Order: sequence, then C-alpha cells, then structure tokens
Amino acid sequence: MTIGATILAACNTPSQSQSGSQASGEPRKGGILRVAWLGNPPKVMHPYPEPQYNGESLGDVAALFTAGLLSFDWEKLDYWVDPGDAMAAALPTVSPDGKTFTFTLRDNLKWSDGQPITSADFQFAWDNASKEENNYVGLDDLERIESYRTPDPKTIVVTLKEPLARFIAIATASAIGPIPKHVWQGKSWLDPVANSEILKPTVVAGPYIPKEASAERVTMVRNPTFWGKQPLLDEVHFITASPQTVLNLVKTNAADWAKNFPPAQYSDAKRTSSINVVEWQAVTGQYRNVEFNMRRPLFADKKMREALTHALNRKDFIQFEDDLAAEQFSVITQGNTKWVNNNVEKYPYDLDKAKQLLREAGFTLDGAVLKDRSGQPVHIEIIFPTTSQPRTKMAAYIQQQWKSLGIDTAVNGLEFNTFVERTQNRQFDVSMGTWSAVLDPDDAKTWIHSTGPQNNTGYANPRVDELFQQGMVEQDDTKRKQMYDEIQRLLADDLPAFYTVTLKQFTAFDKKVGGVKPSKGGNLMTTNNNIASWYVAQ
Amino acid sequence: MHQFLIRRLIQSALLLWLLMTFTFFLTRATPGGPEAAFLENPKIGPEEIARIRERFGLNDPAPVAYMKWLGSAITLDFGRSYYYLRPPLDIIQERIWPTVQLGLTAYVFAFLGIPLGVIAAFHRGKLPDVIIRVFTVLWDSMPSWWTALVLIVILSTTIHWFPQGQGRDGPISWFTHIIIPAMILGLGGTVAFTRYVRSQVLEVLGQDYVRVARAKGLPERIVTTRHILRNSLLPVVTLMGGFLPGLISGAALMEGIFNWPGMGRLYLEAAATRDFPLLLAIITMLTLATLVGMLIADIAYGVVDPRIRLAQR
Amino acid sequence: MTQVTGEPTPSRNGTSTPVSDGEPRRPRPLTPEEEAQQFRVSQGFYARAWGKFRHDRLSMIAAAGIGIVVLITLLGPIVCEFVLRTAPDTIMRMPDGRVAVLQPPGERFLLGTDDLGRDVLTRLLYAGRISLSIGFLVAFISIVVGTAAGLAAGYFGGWVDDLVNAVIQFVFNIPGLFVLIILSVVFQPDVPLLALIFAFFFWPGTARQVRGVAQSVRNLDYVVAAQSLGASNFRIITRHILPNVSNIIMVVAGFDVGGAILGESALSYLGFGVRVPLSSWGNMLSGSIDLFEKAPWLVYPPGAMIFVTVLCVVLLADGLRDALDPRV
Repeated sequence: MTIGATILAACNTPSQSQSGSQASGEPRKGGILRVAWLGNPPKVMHPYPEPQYNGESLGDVAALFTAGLLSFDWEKLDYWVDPGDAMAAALPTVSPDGKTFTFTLRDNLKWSDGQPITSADFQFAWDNASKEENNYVGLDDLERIESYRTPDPKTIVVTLKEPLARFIAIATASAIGPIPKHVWQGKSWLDPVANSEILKPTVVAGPYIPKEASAERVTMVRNPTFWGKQPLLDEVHFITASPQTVLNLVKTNAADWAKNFPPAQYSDAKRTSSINVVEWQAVTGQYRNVEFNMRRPLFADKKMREALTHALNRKDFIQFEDDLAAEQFSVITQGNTKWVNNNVEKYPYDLDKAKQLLREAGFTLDGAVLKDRSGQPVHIEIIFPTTSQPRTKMAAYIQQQWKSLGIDTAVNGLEFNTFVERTQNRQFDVSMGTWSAVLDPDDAKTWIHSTGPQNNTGYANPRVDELFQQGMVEQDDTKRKQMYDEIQRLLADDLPAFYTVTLKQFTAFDKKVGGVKPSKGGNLMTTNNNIASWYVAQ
Repeated sequence: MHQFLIRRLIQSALLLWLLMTFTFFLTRATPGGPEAAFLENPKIGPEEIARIRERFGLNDPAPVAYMKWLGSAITLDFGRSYYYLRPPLDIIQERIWPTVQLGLTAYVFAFLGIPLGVIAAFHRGKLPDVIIRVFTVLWDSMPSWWTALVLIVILSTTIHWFPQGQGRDGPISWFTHIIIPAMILGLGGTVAFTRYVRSQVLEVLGQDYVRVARAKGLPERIVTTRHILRNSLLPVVTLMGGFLPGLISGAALMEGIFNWPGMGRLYLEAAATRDFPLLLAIITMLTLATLVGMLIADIAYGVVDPRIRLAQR
Repeated sequence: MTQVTGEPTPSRNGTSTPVSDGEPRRPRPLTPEEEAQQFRVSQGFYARAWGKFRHDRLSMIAAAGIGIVVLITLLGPIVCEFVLRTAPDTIMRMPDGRVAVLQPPGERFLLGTDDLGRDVLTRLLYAGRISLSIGFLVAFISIVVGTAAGLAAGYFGGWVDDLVNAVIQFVFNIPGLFVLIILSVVFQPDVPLLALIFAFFFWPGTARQVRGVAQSVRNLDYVVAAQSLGASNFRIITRHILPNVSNIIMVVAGFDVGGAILGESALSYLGFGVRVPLSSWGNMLSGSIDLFEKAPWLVYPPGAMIFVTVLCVVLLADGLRDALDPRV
C-alpha cells in the first residue's frame, strides 16, 4: 500500500465501506467484477497525478495497476509486508538517528512485459515526481525527504530531513512506487500526447492491466506475469452512472457493485433481496462542519460563536443525513478510534443558553431582531455548494434556528467552483464544509494550523501550531496521543468551527460478490487489501 | 445563386467569429476558475494555485489571451484541455461519433412527425386528428429528463433491464441501447414537425389549385402527392435546420442519464469544471456544425422552392 | 399562416332589394331589427374566432384549467399564511421533538413533509407563484422584444431586416445551455433576472414568426393605400400590421409559457435555476427524484402541477391557433 494510493484514497472518498458481504456462492477463479461509479472516469492514468485530474476514479484504477513497497493493514492501521502485494522484502531498517530508511526489494519482481523491477525504476520515479514543475499532488509529503538513493538494484535508501514520528516517517519513506524506466525514459512525464503511457499504461507493476478506457467505462484485465498473489477475478470493469441509475444497474444485474449511491436510496437498497448493503464508520470517512470566518468582527467574540453553536442540534443533523451519520466533536472523526478525543467541550443543544450568551455579549433582542451594541441588526450569510443536497438542507435548517435567535440569516447556494473560490478568498461569514477525515492526525494541519492551505476559518493558535510541530517528530505514540488530545481540546475550546457529524460509509454489492473483508479504511477498492480474494459467484 | 452563397458564407463566418469572441469573454467573466476544482485536495494551497494559474495562462490580461487563442483557433489548434491535457479536438473526436449517432437517430424520429401531421390534417376534427393532437400536447407538457428517468424506473422494474451506455455486442444490442434515448430526444422534434406539417397541409388543402385539380378529375393519389404534399412539405425544409442547437443541449441531458459517451456530457463537464480550452473548442465546433447545417438547409430550400430562387434576383 | 384582413366583411345575407326598372334604388333606412341583424352578421374576425373557440371543448377545459391554477397560486399562499398559519420554510416537528422528516400524507400534513420536515402543500402553493411568474414573465418579455424586432424587420425590410436576422441567427446559435449555466453562476439570478435570461433565448422565435407575418401583410393593398395616403410608419404598424400579427403572438405566448416552465425544471435538474431555499415546481421536482421510491408524495404534486399547467397552456395555444385560423 503506497502513500500515493493512501493519499488518493484520503482525498476524495465520499463513500467507503467496511464489513464483509455474505455472498451466495463459492470462491472461484475467473469472472468479471463490474463496478458502477458515480462521476467521470479518470482522464489520464498517471501514477503521479497532477491535482486537476486526481480523484477517486483515478485512485480506484491505480489501486489495480500499481503496487507499493509496503502493505497497509486497515485493521491495525499500520504498515506491514504482505508478500502477496508488497514489493519490499520486509519493513525497512531504520538508522539510529531515525532519519534514514533502507528498503530491500524482493526477488522476482517483474513488470507486466517481463522485465525485472529494480531500484532504478524507483529512482526514476523519484527523480521526476520530486520536481516541482511536475506538479505531483503529493509533492508536499515528498518535500520531507532529504535524499533518495539506490546504491544497488535491490536497495533503496531514503533519508528524511528530520526524524518524524514513526508512522509519518514510514509513510513518507515508502511513498514512492516504481515507474518502468525502460518504457518512460526519454518520454515526457506530463504530456499524454507525447507519452501514451500516461493516457493508458501498457507496462504495469500491479495485478491488473488497463485494457480499455473510454468515457463510459474502464476495463482492467489480469496481469499474467504479476509477481504477487494472483487474484481470483479475471477482469474488473468500471462503468459510469448517474445518481439516479447507479443502484438500478446493480438491481438489473448490469453491474455488481454500486460503489457510491445517494443516501436517499439507502432504504431501497436494503429492501432489495439481491443486494447486500454494507455500512460502517471509516477512519478516513467524511465529516461536516460549520466554519466561522474568524476575520469577521462579528465572530471575534467567542460568546457569539458559542451562542450560534448552542442553537444547533447535532441530532437534527443526523436526521437530515437519513440517520447515516454520527455526532462529531472535533477534527478527528469517531471512526479514528486511535486518535479521537471525546473529552472535549461538546456544546450541546440549548437554545436558552444561546440567548443568554448573546445577552452577555452585549446583544439585545429588539422585538424579533437581534441588535448589536451600536443598535445595528445582526446579519449573517451562510454559503454552501448547491451540488450538495445535504448541505443545502442543513443551511436552511441553520437559517431557521438562527432566525429564532433574532438573527437575520441569509443562505446563499453557490455553484461549486464559485463556492470554493469564495472560501479560499475568505469572503464569507459562515461556510458549510465537508471534509475527508485524516489517517494520521498530523494531516489535520491542513485545516487548523495557522498556515494550513485549507484553513478557511483563519484559526491561529500558537499553542496548537507548536503541538503540531512536536507531534510530527515525536517517536513515542503515547506522548503523541497526548499532544493531539490537547490540540482537539484547544480546538473545541476556541471554536473556529462547529463540528457536526461524521458520515457513515455505505455501499451496495450484489450478493454474488464475495471475499470482501472488513476495512476501517475508506474506499474499498484502495483500502481493502484483499482484492485478490474477491470473487463473483456463478 | 453564387451571390447568395457568397453572402451567406460571409455572414456565417462573421457569426462564427462573433460567437467565439462572445464565449471567450464570457468564460473570462465567470467566477471560480479551473483552479477551484483542484482545491478538493487538502494538500493544495495558494502557491500551487498560483502555479496552476500561471501554467494555464490565466494571468494574461484578457485581450492578450484572446488574441493568442483566436490566432491558434483559426488553425484548429485549441491548445490543451486543462483536465485531459490533450488537444481538445482529439477529445471531441473520440466523443463526437456517439452523439452524432444519437442525434441522427433522434432526427429520424422527428421525421415521423411528417406522416403524422399529414394524417392529422386529412382527418381534421375526427378521431385520428384528436389522438395525434392529444399525444403531441401530452408529450410537450412533460420535462424530457423526467420522462427519461420514469422510463428507466419502469423498465428496470418490469423487464429488469434498462439501456445504459452504447450497445456493443452487435447491431441488435446497438439498436436496443440507442432507441430509448433517441426517442425521448427526438419526440420533441416529432411534435414540432407534426404541428407544422398539419398546419401547412391544412393551408394547402384550402387552396384553389387543389379544388381545381379535383374538379379536373385527377385521381386522388395524384392530387395528394403532386399537389398537396409537394407544396406543403417544402416549408418543412426550413424547420430542419433549426433543430441542431436544441439537439445538442437536449442530448447533454440524455447522455448524462443514459451514460452515453457523447459530446453533450463533455460539454456539461467542461462548463462545470471551467475547462476553458475544451469548452471554447466545443462551442466553436458546435457553432460551425450548426451554421453549416443551416446553410445546407437554406440552400436546399432555395433550390427546392422556386419562389425563393426568383426572389433572390 | 396569413391573416387576410382586419376589416369587417360586408354582409352578404340580410335583405337584398331586387333591382327593377333599371333604376338604381336608394337603400331605404333599416329597421332596428335589421340593423341589429346586420351588425350581428357582419361580426368580423374576432367575434367569429371567439365563437369557434367557445365551442372547442378541449380549449375551454384548458382555459378553465389555467384559471384554476392561477387562482390556486394566487390565493393559496394567502390562505396558508392567514388561515392555516403555515409557512413554506418552517421545519415542522413531531410531538417527540424529532424533525418531521419525510412524513407521508396524513391528517397533519395534507401532502406530507419533505426531507427537511417542511409541509409540502404549503411549499407547493408558494412555489406556484415562482413557476408561474417565470412562465408569464418570460412570455411577456419574449413577446414585447420579439414583436418589436419582428415588426421592424418585416415592415422596413432592407438593412433593418438584415440586422434583425443577424441578431436572431446569433442568438439561435449561442450554445444555450452553457450560457444559461454561466449566466446563472455569474449573476446568481433571482426570479426576474432568471426570467430575463430565459427570455433572451425565447424572443428570436417570436421575432421570426412575427417577421413572417409582417412581411406578408406589408404588401397588401390597404397597407400600400395607407402609405400612399401619407400615414406615418408608426400609425401603419400599430393600426394595420399589429392586429394581424396579434394572432400569432397569442399562440407563441402560449408555447413560451409552457417552454419556460419546463426549461426551468431542466435547469434545476442540472443544479441551476431558481435558487434554494426558494422553491419552484421545477426544483421541487428535480430535488425529489432521488427520493422517488422512499417518498413518492414529494414527486407527484410538483410533477402534476407542472404537467397540468403546461398541458393547459399548450392546449390553449393550440386552440387559439385553430380558432384564429381564417382558412378554417
């Protein structure tokens, strides 16, 4: 499991599931798994994608044709080596200073064209992916690496700039997967016209080879020279579908797996006898929050933010998610049981307390209109993307609740790109956010570190920044846990955003599909490390 | 005739240029550039955005970017799509054939309106006319996307199958997959044709020369074909060109619902993701196709209707 | 379709005095009954059309349908606000405190509640105002602009005609869907602005039709006569040409209303159009398709309203077209 695939999985995963499916039928070799996707197929199949075409569909496909140095156990949430899919012979040896990791490649590693996979292929990949102009989406992580050397065909030596916490260190060090140097040498790294391998790779290291890629489907066939465990399934097909038809495809046996489908159809899926619906809380699921723009003077006083928060009932939010959600209190979700801290200020629903806090903050209720100290009525604008039905609903709900406090609340549904632009430019009062949860809490820097690239709220707490810095390099996991616990506590106390719910993952399989093991991870395609044992019964 | 042709060609070229310019500046005016879509990725921050904007030339002032784009567009070089990284024409080429198939089949459906209109006119006020009128009115009153979705639900619950994507296993499969989207797309045209033909035939039926022909004792068959039909169907040619723009946008909806790998979906996708090079290329090519289609229709009408031809002089 | 004349046709029936003795007879004064009969018979075009229309059962039903729909949408919200005391945005709750999400139609909620616990019936009535306003506004703007352009092009001909034709062609060729989407994004339109944007794409159709009629009327004798008498262009257009064109305008208006309502629903399906939390029938319908199996009461009411309204409007337009057709 490479960090690349993990990143891809963590980025864009609306629905990931964990739980076995009770298949009817025996495991057998052969067969085709037809996966119904929502959204568009990958536009290019580059193992080191640029941000604009990175996405869930690319992650799914890449999981099938790439392979990584190490495996990831989604049960224990840690790295290990599974000879069935890992290219390293064992976990890396670590230098005493904790900065240098040495990997030894297994014997008999082969590309799908028969050529051996050597460390030169890894070196080639690193040399290109680490270049800034190549715009690799995971460049940030690679920048932690000081040097990447391959002294002999079976050895890779990665040196980090500083000794990081063990989990982060191994993830970073094993992030690079190989690119067939003998095929890519001399060809363009970015241009799919000049290098057709980018459009559709013909020489791969993983268990499946892409055969066909069009606007409506992607087909992958078995790689006969795969060095790891040969999977049971002969082929995997991906079909695109619209939200209204994706479940119907499985119902009419035109597909075997509806990977994502609208929550509104959940009960219908459960009622269908030929379908297995699986759902659970994933570690890297999605969560929602209500973000306050801390730069607005209205939100400078915590009492105001607290009052607004007390006027919202998480239980109502869960209802609006068709009960497929759980309460969430901070940036780490319930699914991430290792790192979550539930001993934080939760701000339960209390309308009276909200009103009292407003009075304390100097706001007065004039009839039905809340006015500030200077007599101006309070006005708040909530923005959300219209592409999200749940957020549309929740904005309307929040509007109602805040209106009962006397606040003139306007909801403004924006088209997605416009929404993102306004949040990025910090031109909003309140924004409805939906984010993907993190595997390692260090990744939460994105939103709550003062320099985080997606820190829309403008939250800046020097102590939090300091704790992040410490946590990044702390080797002792118990101490790490304390640091991140404190971060969560501070975050809840400071309330730059109100965390509402974590979304449960759910997906629908045809009962013919078997061998799917539970996975706390997201995306079953990329985090269920036993695709090799999946089968489609007769 | 030549004068007419040259005039029309110049007009069309002018129109094309105007439209290309209009859409170019419209794309520039929209908020939320392509970089917004990248922000789904938590690792992307302001510097990456700045890099991306630089790479896509979004920092050039509008007039400069316009001249650059127009210059290469004339040679059919539309740059590279932001998301596909390939020349837009390549991508369009891959997707255009399915849309053309869908469009042509829908067009064929539309032509069904001609016999229907004739029947309705000949039996005015009687049962066939009423049935046809009711049908046209019913169809016109339902949103097409709604009809498509309802049809899918009905099909999946009754025959446990619905068309999805193109049929690839031979001609029968191709037919079963295309018939329903094409039908939904085309029936709007059928309705329009039916109405138009009906009113044209009714007008002709009331004309003197039809009465004269009958009075002369000509067999009804000759009266029908040579006098009634020929005169009433000519104007239908004018209607043919007008369908093209509507067909493309209608196809966009159908393609999304039926997972048809066509250009309509590409169009919507490009608009949503602000893939400007692709978007501008699609619009330019579409406009070109529409203009060519209308030109052909106008020429055909001019050839076929002597009144027009004479009026040109 | 050409309209021949707007002048009353001289009566052919009624009393005809036989000519005898070779002398021309001076017409004697008419008795009151004869006078009344003469005026009744020389009814003119519109009276005859109304007669035809009145007897076309389908059209009358359609007219009644539209009337009912308009009445409901005008009065409904008032009833909701003052009598039933419900509002379209209020999130209703069950006795146990939970939000009344997706309640089926019953005693408390006549048409059930939606996925936010709001009363469907109330929303439907308020949404009707939005949808009908869009429909009628679009038709109105399209008529005004289209008629002006069509009249100018058809009457003046020459370069005016060329210009108007060029503009019509231009708008026809604009990739409508894309521009609609982009304009929706840039302007975040409220209902009037949305109607304006829609009308932008509808008016060329009107203009084309009007132009055709204006052109054929322009060459008729009485128009030429008026011109040679020195009547101003304005007078000729308004007194002679406009009445002839008014028939086609009414028919086009009918189809425009229907087209606008359907178009708005398609736009909502794509995610644009009337912006939430404002509800229109179009976005109520498109927002509920995912819930079709779970909550069909969300789908049928707006769908039925759209269907009935558009159906009646289209039937009305069809009926008008037939009634106003002089050949029939």
